[in-house]
Amino acid sequence: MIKGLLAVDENLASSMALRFAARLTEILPLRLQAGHVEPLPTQQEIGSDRVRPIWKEGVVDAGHQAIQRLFNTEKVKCPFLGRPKVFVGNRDEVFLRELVNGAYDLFLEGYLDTGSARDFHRLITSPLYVESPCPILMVKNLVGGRHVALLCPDEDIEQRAAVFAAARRLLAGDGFDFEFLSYRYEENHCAVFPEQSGTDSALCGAVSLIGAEGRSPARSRVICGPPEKVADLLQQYKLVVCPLPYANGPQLELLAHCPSPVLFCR
Amino acid sequence: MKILAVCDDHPTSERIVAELAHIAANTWADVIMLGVQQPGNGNEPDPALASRLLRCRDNFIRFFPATESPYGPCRISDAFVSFGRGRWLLAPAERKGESRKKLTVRIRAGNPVREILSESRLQEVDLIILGCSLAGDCRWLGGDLRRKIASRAGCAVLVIRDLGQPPGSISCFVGQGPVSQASLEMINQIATVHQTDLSLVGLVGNELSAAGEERITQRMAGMLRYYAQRRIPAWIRLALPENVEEDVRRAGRDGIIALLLGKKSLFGGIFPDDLIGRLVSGGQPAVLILR
Repeated sequence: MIKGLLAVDENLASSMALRFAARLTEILPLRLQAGHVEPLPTQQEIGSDRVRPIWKEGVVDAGHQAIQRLFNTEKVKCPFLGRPKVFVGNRDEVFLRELVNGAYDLFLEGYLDTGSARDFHRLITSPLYVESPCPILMVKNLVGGRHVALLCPDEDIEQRAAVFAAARRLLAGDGFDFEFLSYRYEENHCAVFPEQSGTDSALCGAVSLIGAEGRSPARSRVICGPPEKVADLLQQYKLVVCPLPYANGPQLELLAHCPSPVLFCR
Repeated sequence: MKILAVCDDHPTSERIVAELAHIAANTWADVIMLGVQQPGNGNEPDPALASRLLRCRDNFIRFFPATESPYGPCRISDAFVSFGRGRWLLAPAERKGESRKKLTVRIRAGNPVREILSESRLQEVDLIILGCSLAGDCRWLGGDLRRKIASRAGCAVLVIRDLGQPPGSISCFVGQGPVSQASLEMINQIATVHQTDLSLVGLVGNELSAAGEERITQRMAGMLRYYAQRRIPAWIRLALPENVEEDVRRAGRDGIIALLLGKKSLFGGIFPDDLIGRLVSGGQPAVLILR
């Protein structure tokens, strides 16, 4: 069983994440725990120590109601592990603590794509993403199909192996077709071509990893071009799997513009 | 549903017929083909315009297999008859049977903007379709006319520049204005006609309050549910003010752009005043203005 923590708020991003997660539960042994965080109030808002418990109770109750409204609106059938958990505090800290304490295998949340690499970079360098003990699935859109792109990291062979292993652990079974992609930045030219000559080191390494398991990917391809244009090509994939890019660069820009859900593994 | 297709005596007009026929077939709409001629041509319809309208009508009718046409089996009339000063109507066809839907061809003489808007109000149409040549050299269907119609019409307006190739996608820009059921359905029909993906782009920005931004994303959530129920895949993204113009242009390069304009729409604030005019007059293959 894959134990997933699904971050929910009463908004569009959560609505997409909930629907996508529900679809995943049909093809994966995924069981979800919904979690919602109400922001930490100022001392002034809380008032005296005497009213603090009452105040907190009210906030938690409002959080439960918000989640229930979302569930009622979306009407999705999803196997949940229990009643949604509502926390009060700093969102990143609370979810990190819950991920560790609950020994989750996956964290899922929705993200509304603004195409802004700066916003995207800010999010993926946040404590929640950097320190997460498990892979994070960022749902940007509801995408069907069964094709999963493994965006191969260029240099680090160990990282490549780890990403691949994490992806295989989560996405085991016959519900997905894997495809290896290697991305090369080019400013003026956008192209996709099959990797046949064995010259792309990232792809060769990835293919040999999957070959060791006695399987072969559906395809392995090299895509090149400016990030925004290549990102449009990624919308054919149900999921794009990749390591967390820490530094600004073409790979980060590509993921910022990618319309498909992204699974960050480490 | 009622569609008003505006034609002039330029070959461009014939380009809109295929799109008109697709939408009409999908929506079972009553169709009015309208030509506007300059006043002072005497008491007769302009022969070039009349001839173009007849060709458009014939092409439209040919689109439907005779036995399946909702516009009925009819012997086609080619004679325009006057029904008022500067107003002509194609003589009613001699029908073999009753048609389910009406196809009317009319000519008006006068100021094109005034006449088109007047006809659209009189007939209470839901959609006005305007054509445009690739080079933007439509005679009286100049950029200014399209801009005026797009901004003043009380109904949806579809400006078709060139749909020679199927559009890659439909990008629907959602602002703060209310989204009517008719608008949702119109987008649904056009996405279905072209069998294409739909992108919902929320216009958010720094000047927008948190409540305003939440309203837009809630509206998008509603639209996403609406299209999911109809099995139309919809992609979601947000556009920031600094990227909106480029975003619209990029989306329009290989697809149809739909602008949801409401009274409180963000477009007035985010877009430069004349952007809508430039969009409907510019290089976009097709622009759909919805209210």
